[in-house]
Amino acid sequence: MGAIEIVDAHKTYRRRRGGPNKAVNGLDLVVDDGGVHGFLGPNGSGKTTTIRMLLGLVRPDSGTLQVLGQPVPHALPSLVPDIGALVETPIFFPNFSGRTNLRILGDVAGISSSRQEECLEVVGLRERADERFKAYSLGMKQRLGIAAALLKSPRLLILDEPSNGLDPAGIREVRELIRALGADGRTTVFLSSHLLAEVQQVCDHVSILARGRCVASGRVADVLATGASGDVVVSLDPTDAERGLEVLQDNGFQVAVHPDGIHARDVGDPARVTRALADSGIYLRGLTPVIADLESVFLELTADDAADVTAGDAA
Amino acid sequence: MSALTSLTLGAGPVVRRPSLLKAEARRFRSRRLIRNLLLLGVIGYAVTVVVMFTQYEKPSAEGLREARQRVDQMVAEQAQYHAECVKTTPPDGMTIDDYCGPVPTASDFGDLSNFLPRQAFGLERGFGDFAQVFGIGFAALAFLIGATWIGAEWSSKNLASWLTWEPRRIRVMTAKLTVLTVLVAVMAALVQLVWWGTGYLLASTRGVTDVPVDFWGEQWAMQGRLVAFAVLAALGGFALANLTHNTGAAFGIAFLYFAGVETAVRLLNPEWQRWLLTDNSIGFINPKGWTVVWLDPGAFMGIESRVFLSHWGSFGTLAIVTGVVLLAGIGLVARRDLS
Repeated sequence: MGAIEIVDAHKTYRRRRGGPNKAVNGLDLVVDDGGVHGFLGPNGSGKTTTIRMLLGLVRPDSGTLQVLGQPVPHALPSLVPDIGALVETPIFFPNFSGRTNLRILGDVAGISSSRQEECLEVVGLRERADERFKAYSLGMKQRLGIAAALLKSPRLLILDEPSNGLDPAGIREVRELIRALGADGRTTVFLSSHLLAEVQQVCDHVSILARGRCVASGRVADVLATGASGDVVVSLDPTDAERGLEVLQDNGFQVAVHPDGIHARDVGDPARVTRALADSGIYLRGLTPVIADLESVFLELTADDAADVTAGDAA
Repeated sequence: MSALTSLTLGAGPVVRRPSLLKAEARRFRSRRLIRNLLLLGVIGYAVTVVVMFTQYEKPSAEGLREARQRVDQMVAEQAQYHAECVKTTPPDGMTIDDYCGPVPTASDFGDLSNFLPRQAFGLERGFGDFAQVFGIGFAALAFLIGATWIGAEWSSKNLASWLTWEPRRIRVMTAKLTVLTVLVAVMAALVQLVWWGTGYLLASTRGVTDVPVDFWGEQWAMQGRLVAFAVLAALGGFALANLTHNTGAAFGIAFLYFAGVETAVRLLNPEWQRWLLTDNSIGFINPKGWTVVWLDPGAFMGIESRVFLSHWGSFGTLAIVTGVVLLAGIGLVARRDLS
């Protein structure tokens, strides 16, 4: 049983101006139980609409959605105690304190006040829990949102851009928390983020969305491998560097000088490089495959959609 | 987030019975606006009562005796006139009773306090009037509370957030309406109860407590209707703000209706007055109901038409209008995508 299973989901928003907008267009997605699953996509690729469909806030036009093995939105009432969510900006009553806001949610779900205090403590808000929500900084609001998502001790935790507004220390703590939750053997974290480095650091699996459909999905390492170039960096003794370059060129490799040695492009089998150099009496110090990072893979997969993505990480 | 390790990641935080009603009740009593409005209401009430205590004075036995004498004298004079009247021939088409009216009694001259040298608070005259003033005043407050109760959720987009905790939208809206209805009814009843106590105290110390036999039954029934009226006003505010997703828009629509639509109907199509909310509110609250009177347009010298609005008829009109707007808004919440 997967934590999330979506088959051929479609959602089109009708707009008064500009014609219909296909936010989700034949989306297939499987998120296995446990671990942290990244959900990447450029702005407008359908990430938030997908999350809203999973939470019953938006109705899909067609397709089937399952959460924790049960169909949604039909089974949501029985599933809700097991789902924690932070969707986009944390929304609370602005004139209530952080503590009162959590108390109200605690009443809805029947959660003890000690658990509420525990969650406030975890996100570092206990000392300022009696201040009004609207007086909180963006980072504090985000922390309260995370505290609310954790209240129920959910089996599925859906986090939409949880690092928004947090300072570097806060970002690190949130990532530690996500990793800890993903590793507890009980919780599945579904992490929607535009921070590629965050996904690469924190997630076990990733799905990449473009134009409302999933263009890549799997273990982060496997998705990265799809973008592997076949290039290698050859490290040699500095005295052999010039001759090594000539030998590789003579053997038909495309080469260039690299700070760590020689960059050989599209070598296919790396053993060919080793053999060519050894036959000329040059021995390697190292041979490093050039592996694409998630940013490269993401930009390649999302092509036209990627223009407005912030492909960096402040942390 | 240094206390990561202290967080119980496993299952088991749910130790109490989940209760949407409890959550909504907590929100109601935590709302600063509601607290401030109620505080203002209490201050307004207290000031009015203090002014009343300073303005009225308990009549002396001598004053009461003189007042009764004056009333008796007026009743006797009117009775004499009536007796002379019934001896005459009424105009064509009229009966003698229509022409001369009923035999005058003391109650035709109103409260005894009207005849006292300095104004005294008379229960018979003052109690019902002030019950209406306070009841209608609270109903206006209830409209405001009802509109902001749901309007605040739309403006802060909190409703979508609620639904990630309780996805059954009708249940969420029902909980909000239940809490609003019950708490507004309790507060409105409290207003009437407090006025009952204050009014009686005022009459005992600064006026007269003489009332006709059926007085209290009629007053309590009216006070009950004022409580129901406050609830309808709260639900009306809720319904408009929920339909428009905006508290300000609800006030705007209410203003447009009362200032524009009602005025236009009275001027252009007066026979429709029977359906107006103001007339039906009067018909519902007033102990004797309400008779809508209008002059038939185009008729020479104007011919009066009348429609009587009973308590139940008026209540039905008010409830249907409120219910339709309420159901339309809830229906949209149940069907629409929320962001």
